[in-house]
Amino acid sequence: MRRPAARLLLLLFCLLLSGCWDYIEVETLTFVIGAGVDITPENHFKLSVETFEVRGGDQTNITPYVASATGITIFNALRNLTNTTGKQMFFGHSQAIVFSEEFARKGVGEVVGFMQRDAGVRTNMWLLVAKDASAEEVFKADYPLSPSVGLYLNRVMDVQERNPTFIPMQIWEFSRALNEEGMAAILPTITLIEQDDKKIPMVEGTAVFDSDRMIGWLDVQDTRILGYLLTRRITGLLVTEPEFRGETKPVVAEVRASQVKINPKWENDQLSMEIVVRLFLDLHELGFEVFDYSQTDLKRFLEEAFARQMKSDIEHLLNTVQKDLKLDIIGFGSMTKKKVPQAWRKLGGKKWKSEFPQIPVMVHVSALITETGILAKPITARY
Amino acid sequence: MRPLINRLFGKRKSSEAQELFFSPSIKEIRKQLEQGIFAQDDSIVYRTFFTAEPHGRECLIVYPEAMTSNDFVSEFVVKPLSEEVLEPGLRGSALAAHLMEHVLPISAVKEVSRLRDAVDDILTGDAALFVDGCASAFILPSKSVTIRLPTEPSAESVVRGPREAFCESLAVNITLVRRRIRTPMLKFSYMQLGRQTQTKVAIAHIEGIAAPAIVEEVHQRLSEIEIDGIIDSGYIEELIQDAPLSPFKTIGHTERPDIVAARLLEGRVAILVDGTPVALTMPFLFVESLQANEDYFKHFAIASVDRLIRYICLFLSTSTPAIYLALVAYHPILIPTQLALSISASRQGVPFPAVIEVFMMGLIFEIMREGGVRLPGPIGQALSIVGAIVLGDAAVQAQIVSAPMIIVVAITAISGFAVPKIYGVMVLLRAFFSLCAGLLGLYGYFVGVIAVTIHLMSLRSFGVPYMVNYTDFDPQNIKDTAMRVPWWHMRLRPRLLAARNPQRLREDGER
Repeated sequence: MRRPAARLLLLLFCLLLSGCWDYIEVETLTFVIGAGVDITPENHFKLSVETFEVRGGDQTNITPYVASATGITIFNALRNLTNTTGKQMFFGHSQAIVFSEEFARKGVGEVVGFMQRDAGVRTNMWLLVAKDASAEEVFKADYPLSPSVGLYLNRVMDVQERNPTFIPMQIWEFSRALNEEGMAAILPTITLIEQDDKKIPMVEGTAVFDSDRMIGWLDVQDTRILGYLLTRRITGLLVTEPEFRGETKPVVAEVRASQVKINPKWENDQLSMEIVVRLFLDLHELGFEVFDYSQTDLKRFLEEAFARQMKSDIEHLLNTVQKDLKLDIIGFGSMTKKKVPQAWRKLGGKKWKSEFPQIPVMVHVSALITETGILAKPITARY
Repeated sequence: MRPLINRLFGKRKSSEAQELFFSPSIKEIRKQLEQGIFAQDDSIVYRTFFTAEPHGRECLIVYPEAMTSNDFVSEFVVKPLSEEVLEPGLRGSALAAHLMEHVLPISAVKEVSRLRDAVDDILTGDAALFVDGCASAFILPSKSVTIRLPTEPSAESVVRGPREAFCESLAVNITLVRRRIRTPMLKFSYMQLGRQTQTKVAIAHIEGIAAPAIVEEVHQRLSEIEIDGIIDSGYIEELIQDAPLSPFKTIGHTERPDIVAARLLEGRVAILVDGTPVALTMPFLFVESLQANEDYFKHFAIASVDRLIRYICLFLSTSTPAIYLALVAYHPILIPTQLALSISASRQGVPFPAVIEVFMMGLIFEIMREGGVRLPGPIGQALSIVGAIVLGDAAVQAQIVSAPMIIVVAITAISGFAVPKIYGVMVLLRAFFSLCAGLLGLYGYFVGVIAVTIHLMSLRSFGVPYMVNYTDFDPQNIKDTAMRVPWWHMRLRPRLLAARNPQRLREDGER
């Protein structure tokens, strides 16, 4: 060890053996921005990737391009894709993966497992299920105001809070939900809507999974409420249409702050759930001309209307989940397991699937209007 | 100091003749000088004349041509002497005293008793007067050497602050420093270095502030120098610094007397070298590379922002190419998607790998810089136009270099100019980091940074740790690093430099 050459060699080993790295020229990579997984009639995987066709020189030109290939496994399809494009697919910047409905119904576990295992794939990619369209069609759709469909998907996830019509889900969250006992996994859905002769992607609603197989959908309204319950936070706009002096008009409020609590209760060997919601609202649109907000009883009237609306919405969701889907996507099971383990020992595990639809749920909602914008009284037309 | 010079001369064989005392005969002296010491040198002037009759006595005046004022010599030496009647009995020291006190109307006349000393003084431009019957020579301060006067500093210019720079004359330089610190505690001690050049060197410190150990160490190191010539203070810097193999300099240099004065007040030692307009200050710490004298003249908040910018520039200038290379060639996943796409687009069709590109552009930039430095001003501008427009634009258009690479080089260059004091080191660091990043990506870059940090931490300058201000949690030591606190908070001097007399302001903090 005294010889300097030996020391240097040892030092070099420390440097070279301590990690994995590779020199690669950035221009030889094809950046995958989004990927779609379909299933062919022969039961093969069809992988469609959205990449950018990059032209350099004086005027750089970046246009999206969708390439697809099939294979018996997802990895096989990916390698076949390399053959047809002649470039290495680089998943480091991939924003989203879209599963077709058909594929999702057969089980997504294999693909999600691959995505998590592969070192080159980020686990913070968004996952979606295509509804009424194949995954390839989604990426071949138009993308107004966005450079590409994949980037649109990434942006739309960021602004989800403003209009929570879907619940964003990244790979790591989804696979955690798959692994979690007493909770079913969900994914947001993407559909194509017709607009000016163009097909435009739109993310809303939820696909519900039993284990890793998709079994049904939730509509936009239920998805909103489910999002509130999952994140314990209510955001966005609330709309209600109360009846006032024989008139029914919409009233819109934005949620300033909220408290959502879900408590499992274990009394006399009987499990029940209690959902407590408190809303602090900011009044935005008032349909009633004659409504003078400064009167306390009218304010209370509106607050009750919002509370009633929220309560019925939650009950509607519970009805869908417990009676139609019979799948615990809210996570009552995992909450029970954490908070009342003795109940979980009796009802949990394999039994939970049959127990869940019968759990009674109490819903309590209270609302408080704290702000009214900069008008106290509504504007009245005096003509 | 004397023993040193004696030792230096003792080693010379030819010095024996010079060690001789004067012979009483003027002819003999002239022969010794003309055919011995100054043989074959036509630039030395010998002028023999006689004092007034009746007892005319032979006198010899010797001086180097053009370095001595002829008017001075004829007016104040030749004229009074040739009118003086010297009694024949007046000889030896009585004669010397008579001449000194009554004949030569010059304030700074010096009497030397050894020929060698006379020769030393003749070489500086003074005239030596020999009078028959006198066993000593008179050195007349008749130097008339044309020197460059102090001008505005060219390398360390400021917007606000004194506009004086050192010049090549040691005497003027000492004046410039002493004019700023008028205390008897400011000491200059002289030394002569260089066997052939006999360069005069002044070591300055303020007694009672500077640590005696450091002053002693400076003297010690200077006395160990053995070299034939000192042309610039850079020679001394390299000969006495702590880690001569390290690219980081552990001795500061400046062309500004105000910086020297400030350093002296902090307890540092300065070396002024004759013939060099650049003074050395020591100990030199890493922080000083990022400090500018103007920081102390400006509002402290503005100065702190400037400091911070310099630190950012230090990072940018050393690391931009390395990080760019690591990201593009190893970690494209870390670049934001849109940026990755446009980098990819601009690299389409570029024939060289990123690593070659980085080194090639770095080299081209350094060539342009070096070319510009050596060229006279107007041509230098032409060079930068060629560099900027022709190379930059044409290279991108021809797809030889990618556009992001040009941006990287530009950022590197601009931020490098913001920290001119350590520009040379930064070029080396930049190349080293780029090499590390080219081999191992970001991991390699970090290994490189760690290696450099370890090296910096191990350096010392005259016993003071080089990075003391960064590793110390003593608030006193970090007051003047990345920020510059107001003067009334910098009450104490740097601890390791001036431990004996740390008080800069009065205890109560009054200004």
